[in-house]
Amino acid sequence: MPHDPEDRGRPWLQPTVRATSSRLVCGCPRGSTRRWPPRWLSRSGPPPTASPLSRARGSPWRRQINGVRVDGLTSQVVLGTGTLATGIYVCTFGAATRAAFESQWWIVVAAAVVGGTGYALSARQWWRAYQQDPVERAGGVSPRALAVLAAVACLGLVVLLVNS
Amino acid sequence: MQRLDPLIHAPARLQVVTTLSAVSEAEFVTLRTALDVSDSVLSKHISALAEAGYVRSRKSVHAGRRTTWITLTPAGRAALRAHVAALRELIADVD
Repeated sequence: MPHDPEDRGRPWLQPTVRATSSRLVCGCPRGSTRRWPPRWLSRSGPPPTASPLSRARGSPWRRQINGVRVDGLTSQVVLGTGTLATGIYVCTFGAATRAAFESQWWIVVAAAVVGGTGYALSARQWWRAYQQDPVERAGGVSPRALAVLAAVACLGLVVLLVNS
Repeated sequence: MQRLDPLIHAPARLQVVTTLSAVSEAEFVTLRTALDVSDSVLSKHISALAEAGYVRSRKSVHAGRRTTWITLTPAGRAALRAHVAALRELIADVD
């Protein structure tokens, strides 16, 4: 199917269209759903982190990475806004903070490991859900909302620094 | 019975909107590859969909290269859902 040199290595596109169409029309994944998300996305990680990597690896890689943007991936996987990730993160962060005040350093380490594992599991959970139903799971926090959240976070950091 | 949307019933346009429904935004080149059509053909389809308010496009520059990104609008998403519902009704009795 690919006939343009820069499009080689993207055999996932047609299966993607077929999978999405069959999912929409039939209400269940059929055919080549295993090819979605594309292999390069699976290997390279989320687009925001992959972008600097793409510059280092040259043009063909960059062309493949910047083909689509999935907000759900950014918010759920990178920022960990999923219920599981948020819950585990808050619990383990609280436990680690309390343990640090009491100088129980092994608990801090354990909490960090549990938190990281939970974060990774949450990402994996979303990824599987997205593979099953890309239409419903593609949405996420918009770039504008992320910019507002980042601004609020920076403001909070400034307030903390000024008051400390 | 729901009616098929003639604007997105054409195979190429249906491919465009279904591909866009699975992502937040897709690059023009990516869509072109997915549809296996020329730039001009895809551009016509995108223009028709944009006129109806089903898709939105924006220009961008990445690493010195001009890119065009296409997004499915809420109206386009709703139109696709209605069209798919009509299709489901149509094929319901087919073995």
